[in-house]
Amino acid sequence: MLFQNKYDLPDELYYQAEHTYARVEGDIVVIGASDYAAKLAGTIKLVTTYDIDEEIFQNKPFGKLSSGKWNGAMRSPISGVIVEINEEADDDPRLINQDPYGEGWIIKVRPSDLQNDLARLQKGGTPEFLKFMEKDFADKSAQGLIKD
Amino acid sequence: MTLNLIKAGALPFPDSQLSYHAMARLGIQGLLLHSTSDRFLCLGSANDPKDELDLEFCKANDINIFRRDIGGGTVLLAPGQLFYTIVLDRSHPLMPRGQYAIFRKFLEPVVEALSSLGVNAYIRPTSDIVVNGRKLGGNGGGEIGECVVVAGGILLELDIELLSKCIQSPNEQFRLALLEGMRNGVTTFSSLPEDKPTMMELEDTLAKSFQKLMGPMTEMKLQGAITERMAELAPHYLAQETMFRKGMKVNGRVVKIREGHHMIKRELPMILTNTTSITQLGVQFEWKDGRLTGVVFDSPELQKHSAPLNGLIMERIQITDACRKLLTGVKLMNKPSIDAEVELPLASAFADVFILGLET
Repeated sequence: MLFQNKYDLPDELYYQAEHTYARVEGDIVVIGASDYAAKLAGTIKLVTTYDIDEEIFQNKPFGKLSSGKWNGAMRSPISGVIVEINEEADDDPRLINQDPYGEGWIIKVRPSDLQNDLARLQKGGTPEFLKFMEKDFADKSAQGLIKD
Repeated sequence: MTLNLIKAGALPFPDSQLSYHAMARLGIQGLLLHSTSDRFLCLGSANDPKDELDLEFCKANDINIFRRDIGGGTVLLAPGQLFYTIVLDRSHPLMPRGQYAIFRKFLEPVVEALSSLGVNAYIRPTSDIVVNGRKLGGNGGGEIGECVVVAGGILLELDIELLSKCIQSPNEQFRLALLEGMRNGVTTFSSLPEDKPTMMELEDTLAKSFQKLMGPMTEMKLQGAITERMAELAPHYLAQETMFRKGMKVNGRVVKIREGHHMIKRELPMILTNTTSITQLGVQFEWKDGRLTGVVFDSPELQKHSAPLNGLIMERIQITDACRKLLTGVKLMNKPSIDAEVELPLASAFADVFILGLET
């Protein structure tokens, strides 16, 4: 099975190598876990993030997702300052599984170096992104982490 | 570069936990083996002590609490248990991607060590070490700083009665059921027919087994930079706001249909399916005389999406049997072949319903 048929990875978003996404909305960037990341994580039971006004950096942690047994870091696609945290997802982390690009967004950030950061991310739908995802998907399938 | 091996001996509370948090934050990679000289409760990052524990009992009995930065459940750590902790940089070549692969890889040496001691253990996904269907050790993991940490323990002994009193119970009936469940579901070296190894024998066997996987290690002591960082970290981890920070929520609804018969409506926590989507599913549990008599899934989605469940518990009688076993403390679906990503949420849902059922 092709990963495109299993996961919703919108073309207009930018993706970090560990599957967080960035969506540019004016001068703010919405950050969340991609559908791929959310499904790999299993049922998300707790989400914790850095606080509002805290500075975060590209490819560095900005919070954690917990599935109970595992407490994994979420890495930011861009650098900037957190301006808003999704309280609803904080209250019901299942939103991240159910609607990662809608109600399940995680933080909003005022970027500090947006154009350079975006240039280092994978844009959805591009050949490079599809190739990257195909390899990641194949690797995880080989490990038995993804089944048809 | 060789990894480090730290045989720390019996560490007091809270050093037992601060040690690997400090190692990870310093990027000191390797294997930490230790026991503890104190008894205390250690909770996973998602577990709020207010929801999990009988805090008054813990306080009255001088049982300390630690909330670690990695996953896993609530455990009573005490003398008579040996703990192993792997700390590796997330980019280390030995480190696979994804929690399931990580647990699988780093629990194999534990199984191998137990095998060399004559104990036929296996891994029950995601992360239990099981002997004869009963849990001999549990594990949790996660990322601390730039390191991945996998931590677990082997029970040579465990005071199950004490643990049952530390866990928050709505009533004595619940606690006794919990106690019975734990007695049936957990085992220790002391209760196995095989000779119980000494702590040192077990430690040496584990060290050898892990070195087969991770290469020869250089022994180092728990001192210097690590103990300095432990001292720096202690105020944070012992602070009330760290201990009682928000944890995960448990959802569910119980509707009393008539005396002795309850319908429990609960959303399964979402099944990670093998096909195209995560699906929110409904399930109804029928109760009579305090026993589960039936389970009805609201949605055909379960059958459509969850192939591993087909033929395993989809038959009504099998579901009922699985619930009955759960009620008597036998872990649900004790079959190594089942897809862990399906088993865990479902088992968790049943467990939650079990709790809710007894509360009514």
